Amino acid sequence: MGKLEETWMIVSVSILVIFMAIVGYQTFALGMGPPSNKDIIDPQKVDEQAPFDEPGVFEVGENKYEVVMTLETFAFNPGDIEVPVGAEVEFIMTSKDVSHGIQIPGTNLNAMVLPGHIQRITQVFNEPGEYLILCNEYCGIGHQAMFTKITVK
Amino acid sequence: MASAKKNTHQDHSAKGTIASVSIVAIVIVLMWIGVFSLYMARI
Ligand SMILES: [Cu+2]
Repeated sequence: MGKLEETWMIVSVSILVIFMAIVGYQTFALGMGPPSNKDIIDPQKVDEQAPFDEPGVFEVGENKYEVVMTLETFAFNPGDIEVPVGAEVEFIMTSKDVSHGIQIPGTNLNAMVLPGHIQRITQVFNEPGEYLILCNEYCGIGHQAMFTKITVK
Repeated sequence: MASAKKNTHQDHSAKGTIASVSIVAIVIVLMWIGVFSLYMARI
């Protein structure tokens, strides 16, 4: 193997190892892994089962909030959400019909919400304002109308 | 004879190859840093 080939091998392997080390540290040490909650639920009985029998925004601790949310064609329930600036907000979500998505542009909150599965994702909103919440998974004829907002103040 | 055959491979210059793969490497690293910074800026 030539000298330059050796250089290339070392550089490329190092790049891969460094990337994996950083992403691994983020995921396992800082808890920044992609949303991957594994709870399941009967999608036809969402309304009868806790916590989805009572969707809403709940204060669960000091500066900690829980948003229990159901997604269905073509709405988020609860619709208008309000949380304080800097609060840790955990979204607990499931779908009542088809596959939906949730995305808040300008933040890292972006996940699929599938029928039969309970998705959890935590976000801190450090800037006050109105954020758009939208479905980013094509879910039917009214998909483009599936959005709402979250007010942070 | 066998050793002579082995050496012919080494005669080619790898400078062009290292230059082009380095460009690819720089593009990959810059894109990765870009996505990483975007993610961290939104935490
Ligand atoms: Cu949808």
